[in-house]
Amino acid sequence: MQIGSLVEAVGLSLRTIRHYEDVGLVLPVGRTSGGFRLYDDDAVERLRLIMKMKPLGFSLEEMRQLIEARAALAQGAPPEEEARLLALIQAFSRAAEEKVQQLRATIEAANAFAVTLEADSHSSPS
Amino acid sequence: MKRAVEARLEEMAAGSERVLRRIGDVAAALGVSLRTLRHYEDAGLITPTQRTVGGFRLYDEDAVERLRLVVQMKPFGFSLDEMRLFLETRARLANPLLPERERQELEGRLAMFSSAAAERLAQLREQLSVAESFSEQLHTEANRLTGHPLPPRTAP
Repeated sequence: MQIGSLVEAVGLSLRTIRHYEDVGLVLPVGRTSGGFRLYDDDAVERLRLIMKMKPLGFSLEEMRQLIEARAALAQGAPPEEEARLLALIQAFSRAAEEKVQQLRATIEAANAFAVTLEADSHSSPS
Repeated sequence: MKRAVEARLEEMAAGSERVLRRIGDVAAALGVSLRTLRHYEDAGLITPTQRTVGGFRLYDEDAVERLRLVVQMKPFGFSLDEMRLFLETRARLANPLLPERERQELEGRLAMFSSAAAERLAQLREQLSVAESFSEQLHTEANRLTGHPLPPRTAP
């Protein structure tokens, strides 16, 4: 697919997609006869992953690590390498779960403030 | 024991029966570090009610309440100035003799804080949703790749 379809598939702007391409996180798989870049489903998947990692504060380097690990595993790698890549994925899985726990705690604390404001509005003398 | 006696002597000297607590106890009760409390004090968000002879900061119920609010406001990313403004607004509204026009202005200000907080809370919930989706995806993938299930994730 050309970049227009990619934009539609993931809901990111052209500029954003080009940015991720410039830093090597997304790769075109070829060119049309007119010279326009072509992308496959893998590009969609990579961008969707980036869209999950970015709001959680992962760096470009961390995104690159995970994307490349998944790509290498998909291609098939010697057992030692595979074990290393798998360990990396498990580490990211744990990091993601940690972020979930952090966010839940933050939201709970934030709710406490909302409750306080509510109580305030009911008790203020008027 | 000696410190408790010190504090008590201070209270009696002040002629007040207010309950005063030391900075360490307040920090522990609110779940924040001493350093954070001192930071808020330096920023003028709270002032210790008194000091003991030994120089220990003491806080009364009002100060502890203000601190509790500051701790609650933290997740919203309010600046120190904004938090100070909020506390001030709230304190002024507690005055039953406040002229009506001023009351309305201050309540308007509180409403703005409320809505900023609500917006931030919505953002945080959105982030949580993304985080859960990401965590789920990786968990499933790692499972599939190993054939050995990882320890179960905690349920929401």
